[in-house]
Amino acid sequence: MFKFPKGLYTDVRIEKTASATASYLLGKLDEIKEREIEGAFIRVFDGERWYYSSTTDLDHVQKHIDRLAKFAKPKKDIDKIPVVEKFPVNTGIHLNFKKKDISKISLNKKSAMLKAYFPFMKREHIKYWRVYYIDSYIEKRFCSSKGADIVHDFQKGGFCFIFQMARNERLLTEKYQASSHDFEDLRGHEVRLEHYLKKCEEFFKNAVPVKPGKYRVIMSPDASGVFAHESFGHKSEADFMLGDEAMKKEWTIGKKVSSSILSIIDDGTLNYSGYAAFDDEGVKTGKTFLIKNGILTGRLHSCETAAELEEEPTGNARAISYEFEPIVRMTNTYIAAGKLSKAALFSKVKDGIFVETIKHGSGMSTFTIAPSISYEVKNGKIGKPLLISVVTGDVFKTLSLIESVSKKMEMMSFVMGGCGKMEQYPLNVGIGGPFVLIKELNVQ
Amino acid sequence: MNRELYQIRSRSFSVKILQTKIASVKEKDVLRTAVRVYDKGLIGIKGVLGHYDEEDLAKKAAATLKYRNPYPFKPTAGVKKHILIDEFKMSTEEFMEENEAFLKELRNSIKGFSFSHKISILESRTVLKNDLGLDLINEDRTFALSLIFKEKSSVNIIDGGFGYAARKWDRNDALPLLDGLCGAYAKKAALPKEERIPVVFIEHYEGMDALFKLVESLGGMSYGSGTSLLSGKESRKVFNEKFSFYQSTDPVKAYTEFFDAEGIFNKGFLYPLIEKGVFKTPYTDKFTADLYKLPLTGASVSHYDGKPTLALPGIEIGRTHRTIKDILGGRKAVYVMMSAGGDFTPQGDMSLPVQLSFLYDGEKLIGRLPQLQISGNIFDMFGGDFMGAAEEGVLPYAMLDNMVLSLKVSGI
Repeated sequence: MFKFPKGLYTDVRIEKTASATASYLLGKLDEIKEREIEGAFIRVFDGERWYYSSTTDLDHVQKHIDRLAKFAKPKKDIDKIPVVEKFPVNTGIHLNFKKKDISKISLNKKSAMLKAYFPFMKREHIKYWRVYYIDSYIEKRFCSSKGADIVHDFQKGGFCFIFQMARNERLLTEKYQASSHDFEDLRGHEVRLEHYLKKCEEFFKNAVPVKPGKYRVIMSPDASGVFAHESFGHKSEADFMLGDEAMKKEWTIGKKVSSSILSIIDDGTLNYSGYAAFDDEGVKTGKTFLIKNGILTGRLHSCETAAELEEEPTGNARAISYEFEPIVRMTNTYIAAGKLSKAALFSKVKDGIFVETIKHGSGMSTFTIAPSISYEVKNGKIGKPLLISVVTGDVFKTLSLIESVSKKMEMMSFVMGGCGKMEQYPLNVGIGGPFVLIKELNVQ
Repeated sequence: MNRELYQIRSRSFSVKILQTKIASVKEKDVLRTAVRVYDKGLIGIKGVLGHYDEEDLAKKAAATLKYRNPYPFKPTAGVKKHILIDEFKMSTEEFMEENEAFLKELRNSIKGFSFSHKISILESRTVLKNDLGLDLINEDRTFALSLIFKEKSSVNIIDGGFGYAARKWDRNDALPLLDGLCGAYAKKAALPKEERIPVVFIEHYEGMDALFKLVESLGGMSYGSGTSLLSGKESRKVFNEKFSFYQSTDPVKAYTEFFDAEGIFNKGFLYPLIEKGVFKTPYTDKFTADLYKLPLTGASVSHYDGKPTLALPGIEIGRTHRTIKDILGGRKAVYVMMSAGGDFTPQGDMSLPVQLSFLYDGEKLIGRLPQLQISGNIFDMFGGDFMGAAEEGVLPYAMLDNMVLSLKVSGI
């Protein structure tokens, strides 16, 4: 397909995306759009530096390879360089979504599915609402100078209702979203949507400001998934360790890093938003235990980080599009289920907070979660709704303060937003977990 | 039927840095072109990446009228303006040499720290023209420094971030700043023992966390639908006399195109939304202005192949003082360098965790403060707690403006 220059490692990733979007404002059509785009990302490695190019000119990919090769310094034994040795030579066509290609479904069907939910938005306090439908089918071809040649695909569709309630000085902005690889899963949300809207109305009418302080906090699966992703997932991305001896020493496999009831897993093979058959350097995705029973068990790798740390690639080198190089990213990250029932977990809290839905989270040495719908918990029962700006905690202290984990794990997929790292946002990821009880967090 | 061409060319040349050395070099050249057609209150749009045939695009755009996307407005007509900002002329070869030299000096002069992330040349050319005589072109070439720093002995993923956009790249400007920053980072400082402390935000970066709710509340759609904290407060003095807030498409200061996605721009590229504490008007695009009978401020954005939609293109806060030192009047301040994860309640109460901040005297960073929690309410923050905004900031060239708020600050 391409003439790869001698003495250099080269790979090319070509992406073809067909997508559709629709938005309605207060029940009236705002915009329907279909789009088809193609682009390529080219990488050349000479053993010391990488040279990248991103282009939409697919007729001249070879020119880009040749131009990048001019910057590089060819090496006789390039295939023996540890990073290059790590690149697998996978081949074949792996089109798992072709039979149910979401881009082939008519816009009429997509709009009809969406419009079936519109009557639910006619409510006294909803003054503004907008709904977005988004889908995309992506086919990727990856080939390398080592002989890899893979074609694989991914698709996702979903909708998101964003609504604002207002009465006098009282305001609430909330959203309801659904996402799946299968368009048919987007139907049948009527009961869940109605239930959620009623919950929001109750919250809107009755929520009171929280008294800032330290509380025992129960996180819902939504919140615990974000906690796992932000607090520990990012720290498991091994590119932060490249050339950093202090980090390598600190993050020794086998070290105790959390309460022994905690296990965190990243798994790109699960059929949620973070699914991928292969990562963006042609490595098969897999299941990686980051923490197992409180012990640091693994980390997420690209071929470069695996070579430097003398471990194996995990299929986590991902890019948000053809415009970017693959970097180490999560796929579907979750906290493994424990043994307690939800009721038993709640019964452990005499006076605390339950974070049910969240707006966003972040995680460095301190993690943050901005709750949307939260409640007080009194004697194991959910009490009055609370307005909370942010919940924070020191990451490692909090990991050791995890007291209980419920026995049912739930995964979340998103249609809007995703994970951000440096300039690459948003990346499709899945998050999830069970209900998690933490002994103490700072609530504002 | 009217026809319009919207085109965005983005080119970049970047070096990615790892452990204070160049790890990779990246070139990017993406051309996005779309033709919009307007007919009987509808808009049809077709876009393409890379090579394009305008006639073919126009036919395909006309075919998308079948979607019946509403646009009952006349396209902007009869305005011609081209702005080319080409002060930054460094070639990619000179850029590589400068970066190699910069990183070598950084390795030699700041030995206890390592630096990563990237330095880029960014070129953009945006064209919006139509058959009604609209002919707008904005071209810019800028430099962007974005570094993550870390003490070599640290076990954090990152210790801090530092960056600025400019139209000049001279390592002799950046090196003393980084030296001062790392020097201050290495020294621990204590929070002044005051209930409320001046907090300095760089508006276009961490300052956006504090400005987020204000920007949301100033949106024409939420204002008009009655879901904004500012709904019903037009023409009222709801903020500090010293506080003025503008929508900006100033290409020099805001690093944005001088026109919005509907081809609108204002005198001096500014539109006052809040003036001397009085809420004047929310920001609007053509749709929102028409729906709620509001002044059109020219606040629309769009994907290259999308229908224009409401969003604030850029901001500017009215200057009250020449320097931050003038605002502080001898007091010490918290200089926010890195904050993430903060938010507001629906009623406008903010809680902002600050992961990295420095004690600051208005001239230099004195030392690193512990992690902090900053809180305030939107009407107080830009009301009685607004201390001012300085013409001169800490960073060079970048035209980054600095605002100072007196806020409740506590340790996390």
